[in-house]
Parts: sequence; structure tokens; C-alpha cells
Amino acid sequence: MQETIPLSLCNVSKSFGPVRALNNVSLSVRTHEVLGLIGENGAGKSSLLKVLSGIYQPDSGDILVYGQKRTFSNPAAAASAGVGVVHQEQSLVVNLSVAENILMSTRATKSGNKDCKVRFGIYNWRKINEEAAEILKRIGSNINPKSKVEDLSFADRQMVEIAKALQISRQPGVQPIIVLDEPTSVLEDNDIQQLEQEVRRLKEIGSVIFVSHRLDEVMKFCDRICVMRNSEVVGERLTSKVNADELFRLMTGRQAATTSRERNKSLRDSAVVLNLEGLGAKGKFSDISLKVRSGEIHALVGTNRSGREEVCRAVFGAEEFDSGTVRYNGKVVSRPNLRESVYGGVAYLPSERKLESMVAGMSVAENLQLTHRGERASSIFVNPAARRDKAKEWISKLDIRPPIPDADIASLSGGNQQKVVLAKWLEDCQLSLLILDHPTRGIDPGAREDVSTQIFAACEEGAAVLLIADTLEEAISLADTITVMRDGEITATFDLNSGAIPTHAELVAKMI
Amino acid sequence: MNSPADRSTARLGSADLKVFAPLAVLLILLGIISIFQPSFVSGVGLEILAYQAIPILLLGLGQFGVIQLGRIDLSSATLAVLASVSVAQLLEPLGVFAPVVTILIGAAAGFANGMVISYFQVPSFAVTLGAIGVWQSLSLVIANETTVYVSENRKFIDWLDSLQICGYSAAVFIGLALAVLAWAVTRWTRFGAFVKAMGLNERAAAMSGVPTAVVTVAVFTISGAFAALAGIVLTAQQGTASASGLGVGLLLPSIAATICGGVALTGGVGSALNVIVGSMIIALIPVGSSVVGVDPRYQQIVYGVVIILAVILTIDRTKLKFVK
Repeated sequence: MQETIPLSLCNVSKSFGPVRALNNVSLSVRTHEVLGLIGENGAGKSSLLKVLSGIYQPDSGDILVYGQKRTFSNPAAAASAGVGVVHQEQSLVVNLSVAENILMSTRATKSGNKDCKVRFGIYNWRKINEEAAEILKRIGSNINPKSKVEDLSFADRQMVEIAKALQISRQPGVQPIIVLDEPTSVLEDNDIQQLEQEVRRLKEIGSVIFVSHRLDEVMKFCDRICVMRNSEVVGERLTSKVNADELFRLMTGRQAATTSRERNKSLRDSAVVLNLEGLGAKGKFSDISLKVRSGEIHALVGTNRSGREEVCRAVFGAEEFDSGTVRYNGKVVSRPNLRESVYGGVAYLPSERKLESMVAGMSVAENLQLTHRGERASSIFVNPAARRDKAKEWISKLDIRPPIPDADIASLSGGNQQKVVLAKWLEDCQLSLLILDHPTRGIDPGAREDVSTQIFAACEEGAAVLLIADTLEEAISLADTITVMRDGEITATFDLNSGAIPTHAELVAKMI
Repeated sequence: MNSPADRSTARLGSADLKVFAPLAVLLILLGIISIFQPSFVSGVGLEILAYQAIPILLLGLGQFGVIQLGRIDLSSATLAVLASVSVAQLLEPLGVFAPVVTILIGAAAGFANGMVISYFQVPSFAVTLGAIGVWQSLSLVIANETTVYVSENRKFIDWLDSLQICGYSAAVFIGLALAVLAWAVTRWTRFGAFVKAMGLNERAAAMSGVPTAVVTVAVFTISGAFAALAGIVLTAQQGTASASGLGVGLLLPSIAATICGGVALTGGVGSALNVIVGSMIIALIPVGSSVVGVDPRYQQIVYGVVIILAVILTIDRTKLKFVK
């Protein structure tokens, strides 16, 4: 019976110094099955994936492939057992073609292979493109293998990533096991349906491990769900026999709470913090007029190409605009620039955390202090001890794990990194405008609650919030006002405080 | 200093110990030399070493800031030569102000580099490569293409070399003090935090309101001032200065000293105190290989191999782990 299970882990443990990342984890993946893996940030999902993909070696326990004990000493060894991983952060080389990305650095390009695409170091482009097209076809995609990755949408890029993982894990006589690590975190609602079809196709070819923090998706995509908490597997359920509340309880160890907020009815009297009049930037957006008041959460919704991110970036000074005016606290800002924005009390949380908001290699405490706004009035000197104390405060306030101020931020999980970056801005006592671009992207429900709570607290203290929400549901549950954008223009505005709460469908209708 | 929880204990330990790796390399080299020539360490060997190391240290400290930023200053050694001839020429008319003016010239030259780099967005490699030519020509013009002998007012710079405590010149103590200052700046000032952040992720730093252009210009200005000080020390040591004199060959040693001190060329990592150790390692190799009796024809091989080995042992890769 065991022999038919393509991959299983038995009592796997892994520690890093005093920190136990995996504790006696057992898990098996069956053929033609989508196995969901959920858990909060730091629950051990990432460590588990790294063991599966040969990046970490377990301290104890076994990895069994069709019942045979195996060691995955590196990613190639994992690939030879059919394991291919689509990582959370996209790992494509954007200035190369789709085909190159799919076939790059795999056995397929090595000389000596009977149908090799590279002979004596020279590419056989026709063969490479043909093979890439064939792999893409297997997952139901017709992306042109010759196009450059940088020209593709996020959804298509992810398709390429899946094709790449499939190619890497393709072995004679082995069924592929494709691991999708939070695949939906960078996708918009409409792209997720496409992903669903991809997962269906993958399931026909082999097995899928689907890692996510969105309960609804896990329930939609998966056949069986494995829940992790505190480095252990705390439950395994058939999707057909479980509900979201139970999963939430398993995941967080507490009852689900509703995060919708008491809406602020008296916004009309509060001061206008940000006032955009006819803002436009060629090719990006045009004629954007909106007001954000003190204490208001104003959500911008739209598709990826709607121009909403560009508007936010223009307000902060990270991109330029060429017409219209930005009024900030009543004063016209003719050309916003980063430094003046930051020192004027504007905070911007970019969606590209690794690139634009965290400094990997610096500690949590140093990252928290980066803007130097909390102590702006003080001297040119920094006090490492005070910095550490301040960090400890935020660590406990936002439940950042591990609670070590000196830990390199790069060693934290995505959700915890995001909390640090958010805290960096909240640290400012003069914060008056908070621009949040996907603040909860890639964050588990528990952490999302923590982040939302902080956003509300900032609002209470009078900050205006311009929000690009991760999902429409999030926009509806958090915002006072929703402005819908399409192709760079505003198509509708909803005032949620007036009681007219738009439905999902109403918003989508204005978006597309 | 960093103790991220998600690393194995072995790595955790080595991350802390890495700080001492350059010192270990230096001690090993000194140990090898004293086996061959026991009198080197006890006698004047260390004084000679310090004499050789001090211009490298001064250039290395300037370079340290630039490399922390993730950039490079190829023109610093040439700027030291320019400063060396400038101070020699200026001593007669300006007297005691000559060294001060020379340092200002160096700072201005670095400022110019920094302005071009940050406001015209030109890679520092290209700008400072071009600057080499400019400083070289200026040195030739100022020196009138000959060797300048310092005679008048020599006392105003001579003290750097002749004022000695326990056989070590004033320049050595100044260099050490500046290294400690640089270390303190990286550790306890906002400016230091900005430089480190920019070296690790300049875009994120800019998005957090770090005045990246100002910091870049400041770092290059400081590098220029350090180069000028190195040039003054060279003139004080030699009593002469020429456009083709010592200093021209100091570029690579000064960069090597910085990276032997464990500073990563990609920026953001390393300690100024280890630049002291790095410059001693670099100065020790030629001195040491003569003492040990290496055939002069092979000395460059020893030099090259030791540098590579030193970098293998000293670079703190743990903090670069995020570079995948």
C-alpha cells in the first residue's frame, strides 16, 4: 500500500539553534491529489517546503519516495523524485524569453542528452521553443515561448513558473509533484480562476501541494488540507468534511473574529488631508480627483493595469505626474519628492517589499528606525540600546516573530517582515497620510488582523489612509470610501458610510 | 552582532567570530614570519610595517565608506598623488595652511565625483575611472613634470612622520584615531545607518526618506579628504613628491586592504576597524616575503595568493545570504 504514495515525510524535525522549525512532521502526498498546506506565518510551512525541495536537510525523520527512503541533499535530488517548486517570490529572469526561463539550467539543456537543445554550448532555438510550447500546452497555456518574461502579466509569469517547475521535475517514470507556495498572493481576483484551471490540469498529470493562507481558496482548490501550527501538523482534514471556521481554529488556536470595523460617521467634518485635482500622467492615469480626510480609509480598487498603484506612487513622489495638482494638508505640492513626503508625515508601504521597503541584511531594529521619523527632533546620533527597546515595543505590539530585535529581517517570514515595515511608518508621531499598497499581501489571517488593527489605530489618531487592498472583500470590510479605477480613470466612487455598501459584483462591473 | 534565529548554530557562532577573521589572518602571517625571522616582531619590523601601512590605511578608510555604499572610488590613489604634489608646492606660499588647503582640495575633488555620480546617475566605476586621468594630468601640471623637493616650511608636515612615540609616527596614531572615528560613525550615527542601508538596498532606503544623493556626495567627499591626507603623509614620509611617485600604485592595495578587512564589495557589510587589520595584512605581504626570503620574482604570486586566501577567510558571507 505504502508503495503507491509518491512522496511522504515521516516524523521530520528540524531545528535552528534553539528554534524548532519543524517538530515531528508527517505528511504524505497521493497521486492525482491536491494537498493543501495552511498555517500562519512562522508555523513551519516554509521550512517544510525547504525540506521537500532539498534546501534544508532534516535533523531527524525520513523522506520516502514510493516507500523508499531518500535523502534530498539538494534541489536537484528533490527534482529527481519529481518535486518541483513554484516559489512565492517569482524567480524568473525577466529579460530572457519564456522558453529560456523554462528550460534554463535543466537537464534538458545539458549536452549528451539524446534530445538535447544545446550542442557544444550552442542553442538550438527551434527545439527550445518547441519544447517550451509543448510544456506550456500541458498546463493549458498558449503563451508565446519567444516573448520576454518582462512583457507578461503576473498571471502569465506564474504560468511560466509552473511550466518551469514541471520541466525541472520531469523524470522518466516519475509523476511530478508540483509545490505552489502561496501562488495567489500576487494574483488579482480574475487571475485566480485561471490558476484554478492550471491546478486542475496539474492534478491530472501528477500531484499538487498548494500552500496558501487564504482559507476560501484552499477549500476551493484542494482535496485534502493539512494544517500547521507552531512547527507541527495539528490537523489533516478532507475538504469535503471541514468548514472554514474549523480550519481557522486549527490554524490560529482561537475562534474566528470578525475584523469589520465600526464605521466613522463623522468624516464630513474632518480635515481633508489629501486632495487630488485632475491628476494625470501620460499613459498611466488621467483626471484623477479625490479627497482623503483625516481618519478616513479610502480604498482604490481596480485591476493591475488600472493605474491605481501609479496614482499612489505619484502622490508619494516615487513616480512623476504631468498634470493636475496634489494638495496635502491644504498646501499644493507641485512636485512631491520622497524625502519631503517622508519628512512631511506621508508614509508609503510599497507592494514590492523586498525591493522597495525592507533592507535585507539589517536587523529588525535597524529597519524599524530607517525613516528616523520617530526621533526626528533628536540628534544625528543613534542609540543602539534605545533602538532595541523601541523595536521590542513594536515586536510585542504587532506580535512579530521571532521576537529578536537583532535578527536579520531577511530571516523573518514574509508576514513578519511586512509587520516590521509597517511599524517603521507607524513609528512616526506626525504621521498624517498612510499610503498602503497591498499591505496584507502574503500575510496569514492572524497577522492580517494585527495589521488591520494597527491601520485602524492610526486612523483613530487622525491619519488619512489611501489603501490598495489585496482583495475586494478586504476593501469592502476596511474602507470608508471606495474609488474604482479602470484604465487609468475613475469609474465610480462609493461612500460606505452612507450605508450603501457595494457588492463584489458591483465593484467588478466598474473595474472591467 | 546579528543572531537570526533561523540559522544553524554553527553559522550563528561563525557570524560573530567572522569579525575576528582578519585579525586571525594577520596573526597567522606574523606567526609564519617570526618562525623564519624571530626578530621581525620584536625588533623594528612592526614599525616598518606601520610606516608602509599608513597610506594604505588612509586610502582604505576612504574606500571603506564608498564600498559600504556599494560603490567604488578608483580615483583615490591618483588623488593622493595630486595631493602629494599639491602640498609640496603649497608649503612655501601657504606654510601651515598648506595641509589644510590640500585636504580641502581632496574633499572638493571627491565632492565633484559624488555630484556627477548622484545627480547625473553615472556609475561610480565610470566616473572615478575618468577622474583618474583628470587628477593625473593636474598632478603633472602642478609638479611641472618634475620631482618637487620640500624645503621651505617642511616642518609643517614633517611632524606627521618625525614626531614619534615608541617608534610609531604621528601619522600612525592619526590613522588609528580616524579608523576608530569611522567605526563610531557607522555604529552610532544616522549617517552611518543611512550608508549601510543604501549599500544593502538603495531603493528601499530612498523610499524610506533617506537623502540618498546627499549621502552619496558626502561619502565621496570624505573619500577625497582621506585620499588627500594619504598624499600629505606620503610627502611627509618621502620629503619629495612627484606625479609618478609612490601612491600611483596604491589603488589596488587600498581596495585589497578594505576587502581583506572583510568588507563586501556589494556594500553594507564590514567594519572600519578591520580596515586597520586589512591594511596591515596588505603591507605585511611584500615586507614579510622579503624577510622570509621569497625570490623577488615570485613575490607578486605570494601577494596575489595571500589576498585571495585572506578574502576567502574574512568575508562575512552570512550577511550576504540573501543574495541568492
